[in-house]
Amino acid sequence: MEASAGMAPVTPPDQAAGPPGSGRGPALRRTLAGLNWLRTAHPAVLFAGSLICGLFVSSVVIVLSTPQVRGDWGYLFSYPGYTLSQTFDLLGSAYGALLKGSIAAPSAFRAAFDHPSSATWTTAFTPLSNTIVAAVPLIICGVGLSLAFRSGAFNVGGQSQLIMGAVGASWVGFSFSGMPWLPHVLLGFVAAAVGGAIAGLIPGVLKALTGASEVIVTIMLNYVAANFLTYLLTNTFFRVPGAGDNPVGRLTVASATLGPIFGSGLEVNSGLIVTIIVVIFVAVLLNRSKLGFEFQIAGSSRAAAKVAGIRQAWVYVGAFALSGAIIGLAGGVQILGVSQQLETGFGGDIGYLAILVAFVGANKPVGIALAGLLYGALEAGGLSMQFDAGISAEMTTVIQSLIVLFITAPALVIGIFRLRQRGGLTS
Amino acid sequence: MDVSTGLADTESADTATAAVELRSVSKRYGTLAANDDISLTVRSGEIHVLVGENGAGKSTLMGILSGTVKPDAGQVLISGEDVTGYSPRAAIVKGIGMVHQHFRLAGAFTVAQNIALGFEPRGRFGLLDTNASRVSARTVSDQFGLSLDPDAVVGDLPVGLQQRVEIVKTLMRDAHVLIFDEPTAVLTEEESAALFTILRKLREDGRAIIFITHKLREALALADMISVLRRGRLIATLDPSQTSVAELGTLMVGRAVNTVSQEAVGLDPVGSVTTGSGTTGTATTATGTTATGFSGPREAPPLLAVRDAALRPRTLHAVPVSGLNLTARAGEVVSLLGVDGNGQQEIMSLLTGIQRPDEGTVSIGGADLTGRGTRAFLAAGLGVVPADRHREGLVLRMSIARNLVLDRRHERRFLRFGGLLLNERALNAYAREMIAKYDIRAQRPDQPVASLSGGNQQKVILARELERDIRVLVAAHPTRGLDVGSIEYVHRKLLELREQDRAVVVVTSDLDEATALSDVICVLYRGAVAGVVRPPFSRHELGILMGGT
Repeated sequence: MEASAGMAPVTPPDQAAGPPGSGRGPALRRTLAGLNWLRTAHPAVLFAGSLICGLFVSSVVIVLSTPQVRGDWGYLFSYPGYTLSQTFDLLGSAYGALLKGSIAAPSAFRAAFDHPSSATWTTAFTPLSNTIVAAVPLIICGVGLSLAFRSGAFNVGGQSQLIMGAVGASWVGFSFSGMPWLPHVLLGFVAAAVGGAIAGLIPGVLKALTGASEVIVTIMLNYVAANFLTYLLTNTFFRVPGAGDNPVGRLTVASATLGPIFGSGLEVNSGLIVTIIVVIFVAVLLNRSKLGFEFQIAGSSRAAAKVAGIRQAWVYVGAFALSGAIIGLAGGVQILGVSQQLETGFGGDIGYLAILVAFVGANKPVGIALAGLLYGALEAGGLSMQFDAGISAEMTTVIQSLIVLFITAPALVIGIFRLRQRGGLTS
Repeated sequence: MDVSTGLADTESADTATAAVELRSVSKRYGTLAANDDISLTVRSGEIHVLVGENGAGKSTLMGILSGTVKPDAGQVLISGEDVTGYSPRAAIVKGIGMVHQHFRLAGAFTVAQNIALGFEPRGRFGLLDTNASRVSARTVSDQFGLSLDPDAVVGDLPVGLQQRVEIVKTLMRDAHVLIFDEPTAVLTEEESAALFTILRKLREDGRAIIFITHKLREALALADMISVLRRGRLIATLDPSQTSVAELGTLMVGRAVNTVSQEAVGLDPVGSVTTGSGTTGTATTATGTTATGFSGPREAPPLLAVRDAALRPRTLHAVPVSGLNLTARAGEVVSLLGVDGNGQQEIMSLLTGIQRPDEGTVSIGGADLTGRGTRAFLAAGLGVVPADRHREGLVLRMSIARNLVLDRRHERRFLRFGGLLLNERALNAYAREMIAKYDIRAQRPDQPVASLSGGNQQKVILARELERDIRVLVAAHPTRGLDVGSIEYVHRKLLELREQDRAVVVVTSDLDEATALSDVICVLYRGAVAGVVRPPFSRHELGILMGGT
């Protein structure tokens, strides 16, 4: 009753016409009341709203950046049907290709059902596999970053920690050729975590001892790490002997390789298992552990932490080391599972993209896993959009950025969808 | 004497000369009456000083005058024109100028640029006419003997000169009524004297000046008229030639006869607590009869002792602490009473181990803990009720259950898995128990503490600290902003602690609270103990000590 009365101003007029509750069964009313949160600024609703807004603006950009369809908009008043159909064709093919490249192509599934064989099934699942492979480092990185963010340490150094983790994993991976598989892989991940932790400790210790801005230090360390990698690949034993001028690292040996877990045709490797473990670990750490509790007291209120006897300096050091170690694992997964070797420019922009993923996932491990899958899907679908629909793969970057833009402006999304503020925590 | 109630026949005569007139202005925040039926007249060419404690309603009243606060009832008249409820912008247009306690200046800009800010003179092509603003800044500055260099960078100037920039700013906007919000709080003696000279010049110029302070001597020296605010009411408007520091002090902190009745209603349990126990019962009767009758607790072991502690200021507005000596014994309530900004914050950080004193020692239960950090202080049996419960006492977005163990997270009963994980079930069960025991009005243990009212938030902090095995409780402003019921509850809890032979230190600016609770009152003034007062307490004496000598 109360709920439906409260909804009156925002329900469409045809529903709000009668007095509250008239002509509706109690079951229906209860269902409507249960769905009431869809009208509030619930984080999931905000996310969906941001996604819709982001895709809408992206559509405008796609139309504007396609000369032919842009020209068709000149006929909007003389041939509105033609203009709109051209526009929808364009957007349909763009987003269709995006979905085909990231989730599944219906035709491939039909083929797999008609002629079931491992080859056809592999083809059907390849897009999803690509999405997961792209999502794995984003999720691990994002979860690692969120640990620092929630502890009040703004770690922007995902890239440097990722690279240092990869360096550690690669070193172990191409050395120790006689080891059995599992110990070798585990050792590789330990090395990755240590590498990432070292890269994380530098800003953490500097912040704790001198108060140096962790943002500046981590940004700068990203350059340092990238150049350190180039140095390793050109001047040290990391370099492949006889590779000429092309700076690539040595290949990991077979015993340190993460194999495919869903058949050899799909690229999904056991890095997915590492991801699941990391997400669960960080979720437990943040929500259930004493250490996570202390980190978050410090992250939420420095003054309260002081009074409660928590040393801010240790929180910075600990949070940065842990965050770096986790992000280092992402570098390990990329080396041992995907590229098998280091190269200059390793990691692309994973370390930066992961910051967006952490924000979109509201700094919560499960949220980040979902956001990571979305961003991974956009990465994986970008190429197919370029090939099938002729729209630049860079367009996915625009979409990714626009979603974050709307996520970070909740007031805008609330205004557009006329959501109600949730009670309690809104100051 | 001059508490004008706006009688119809005197009205016309008043408005002829009144620069500002407030008629029965009221403003409530929830249950708190920040301003209650205040009528005040300030004439042109008059320095009108407003005195009152923190929370007496001075800021609200000035907010109403400067347009940032809308009154619930009553009228505001400027030069006879009713402007009730106008905007801050309209207030400036009507000639109200405010010199804030914390200056609104851009430190990187020059004096002239700061003065021009907001109504920059335009030259040709709409460009800034920098020379015009420099010239006018110098003209106004010279007219009132402010001796300001228009080209000096504001950030480089001492505080006293920065304040003059603020004054010139208001004068440039043709302010006829100038409001000064505790202007001398940040000034040295010489700077204050120079400011008074300037204020007198402004008065001769025919401007109306409202000057807020709680320094009583200053008020007497400067004022043409003094109004005393207390708990949102205008207690009296006096002629400075016919009053004294002592009378003002008593008026400001309240007459004993007024507060006894309040205590009788609000603090009934106190009486039962004191009579319930034999040992302190004798102490109380003894204090009533002889001045030295404070024998009982005096022989008790000191649980908190500060010896010759000094703390140099760490930040710009910090108050230096020097030569601080404090002892709190078992079964004793010691109040640190003082007007805000006299070192309370700094002393709290010393007592809780957040800051290490530059000199001297802090010990708890006889053990010297100087420089050992908050963790050691807490472990030694210190309980803390911080001054700012939102920032220091609680993590607002965390649950009640979590907030109940902020500083108790090491206790085994709340942990599992070898101390690594929190025992969620134990936390929730404990929270339910505390919600019942301390009568915290909450629905669930996992609801964020931000959703509670102020009184219930304070109960969460009290529950956390009192349930620990503590020897000393240090409570800063434990009842600030609470309603009467919660105040009574907090006071009862503090006195219970005293009955259990713990030591209690209360940092407060509320004289009633100090006299109601304390066995000893140490009055703080400028980072040092200005006097130690034992019962029977004289409000008069305390008021004078608080105002500084």
